Amino acid sequence: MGALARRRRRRIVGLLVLLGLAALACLASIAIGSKPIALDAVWHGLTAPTDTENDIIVRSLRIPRTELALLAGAALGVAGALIQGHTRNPLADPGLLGVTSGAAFAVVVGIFAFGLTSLYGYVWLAFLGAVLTTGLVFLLGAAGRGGPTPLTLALAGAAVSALMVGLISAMAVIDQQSLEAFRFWRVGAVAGRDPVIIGQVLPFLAVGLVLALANAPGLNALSLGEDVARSIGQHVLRTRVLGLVAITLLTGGAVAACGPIGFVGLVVPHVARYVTGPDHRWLLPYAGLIGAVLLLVADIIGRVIAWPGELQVGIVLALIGAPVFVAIVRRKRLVRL
Amino acid sequence: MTPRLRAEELRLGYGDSLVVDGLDLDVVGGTITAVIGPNGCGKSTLLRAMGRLLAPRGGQVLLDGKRIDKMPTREVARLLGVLPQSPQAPEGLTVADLVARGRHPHQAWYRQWSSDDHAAIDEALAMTGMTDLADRTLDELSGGQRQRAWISMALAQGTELLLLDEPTTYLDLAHQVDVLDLVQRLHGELGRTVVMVLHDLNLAARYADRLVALRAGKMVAQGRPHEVLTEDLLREVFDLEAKVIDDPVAGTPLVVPVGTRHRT
Repeated sequence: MGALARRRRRRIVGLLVLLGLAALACLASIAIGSKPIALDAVWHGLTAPTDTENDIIVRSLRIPRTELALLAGAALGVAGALIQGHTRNPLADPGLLGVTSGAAFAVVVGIFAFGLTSLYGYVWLAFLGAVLTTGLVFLLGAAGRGGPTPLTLALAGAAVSALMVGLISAMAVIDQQSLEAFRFWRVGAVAGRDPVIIGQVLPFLAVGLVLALANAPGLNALSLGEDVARSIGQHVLRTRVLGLVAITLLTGGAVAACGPIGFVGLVVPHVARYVTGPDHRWLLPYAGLIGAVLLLVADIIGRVIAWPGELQVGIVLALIGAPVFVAIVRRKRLVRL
Repeated sequence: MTPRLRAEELRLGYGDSLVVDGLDLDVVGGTITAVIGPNGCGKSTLLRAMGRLLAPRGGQVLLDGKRIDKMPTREVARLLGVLPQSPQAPEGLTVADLVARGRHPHQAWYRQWSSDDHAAIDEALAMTGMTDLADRTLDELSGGQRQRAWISMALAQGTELLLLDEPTTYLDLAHQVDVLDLVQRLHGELGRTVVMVLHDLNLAARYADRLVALRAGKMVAQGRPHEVLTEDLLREVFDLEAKVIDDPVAGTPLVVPVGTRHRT
C-alpha cells in the first residue's frame, strides 16, 4: 500500500499549500484597494488601530470584505462539490435546486410588497427564500414513485427556478423601485457589506460546512449508485437530505450575504476533482479552499482592474470564469460522475 | 437445516405491475444458488428484494430468522452484500479506493480506518488477483478485471452472504468461467453463501449447488441441477426445445438447444 500512503501525503501537502495560498490572498485583499495604503500603514491598522483614515479603511472596510469573500468562496466551492456529487451531474451548480432564484425572489417580494430597503432585511429574506425554495424543490422531487432522485430533483429545481425568475421579472417590470433596488442586489458583491451581516450568516455557514464534511463518506457510497450504497450500509434518503440541508445552508448563507455569485460553485469542484479524484473526503476541503482563494483573488482583481473605481466580484468572476471554464472543458474532458 | 435467507410469500412489483407473485425460497448456508429464468421473469427483482434493495408489496424476507426490513441498514450490510448488474463507478476511482469502500459498514465518523480494514482489503485484492492492479483506475481495466474489482469490494465487506446479479454480463466465455471460478473459491475456501442470477444454464448447472427456475414471477422448480434442468422444464420455463445430456467435463446437465433448423 505504498502508493496509497504516498498519495495521502501528497494530498495533505496540497491542502497545506492551499491554506498558505488562502492566507496570502487574505493579506493581499487587506493590503490592496482603491485607496493606496502603504504596507506598514496596513500593518499598523491590523495590529494597533487608531482613528486615522487608513486604519478605519483597513478595519471596517477591507477586513470584513476579506472575511466575507473567504467565507462565501469556501461555502460556494463546497456546495458546488456537494451538488455535483449528489446529482452526478458535472454541470450542476449550487443554484440548481432553486436556492439562488428563491433568495432573489424573496428579496424582490420584500422590496415590491413591503417596501424594504435595508440590507439587513435582505439577508433574512434571502435566506428564508433560499430555504423555502429548496424545501419546495425537495418535496416536488420526492413526490414521484422512486423518491428524490438526481433527475427529479434537478427537474424540480429547474421548474421552480424558472417560475421564480418569471415572477421576479414581472415585479421588476411593474415597479420601478423594485427594479432599482434589485439591480444592486442582483450583482454579487462582497464589498460594502456590514460586519453585522457576516455575523448573521456565519452560524449557518459553519453548520453547513460541518454537515458537508459529515456527508462526505455517505456521498462516496452514493457515487457507486443507490443500490451499491444501500448494500454497503448507507441510508440513501438520510444521506440525500443531509446533503441538501448542507447545500441550502451554504448557498443560502452566501447568497443572502453577497447576492448571487456564479461560477465558483460550478468551476471550483472541477479544479478540485482534478487534484483529488472522486473521494469526497478530500474533494470537499479542497473545493472549499480553492473557492475561497478564487473569490478573494477575483475581488482583488475587481479593485485593481477599474482603478480608481471598482468592479463587483460577481462581474469579475463571470468575465474571468467563462474563459477559464472553456479552457478546462477543452484541456481535459469533463470528469464523468 | 435452518435457512440463512428466506423469502416467504413474497410479492414484488414496480408501480402498478406485479413482477413476483407469492414466492417462497430458502437459501441454506454454505451453498451456491443460481436463479434462472427467461428475460423479465423477475430474477433480478427477486434478488433485489432478498438484498433489501426493494421493499416487498407483500410477504417478507428473513435474514437469520429476523425480518430484514426491520434491521438497521448497517447491520444488514455486515451480513449480506449485494452486487447489482453492471454497477457504475465515478471516473478516476482506483481499484484500491473501490475495494476500500466495501469497508463502509464497518466504519463510523469517529473511526474511519483500522488495521482490520487494511487486512480485509489486502485479502480481498489477493483473493481476486487484483493486488497488482490496485492503483489502476477502473476505467483502465478490461471488463473481466472490472468485474473482479467489484467482487473484491463485496468481499472486503466481509459478509457471509453474497447476492450477485448476473456477475458475468458482457464478459466473453473465458472471463465468465474466470469469474465463476472465483465465486466457487469464495464458497469453497471462505465458506460464503452465494445467490446469483445467471443467464447461461450450462454454467449455472456447473457452478451452483441448487437451481431456482422462475417464470413470470412464479417459481416453477427448485433443486439440484439434475432435478431442475430437464427437457420438460426447459419447455415449460423457456419455451425451449432442447436435449439435455451429461456435461463431459463435470457430469452436470448440459443443455443443447434444438432450434428450428434441426427440428424434426
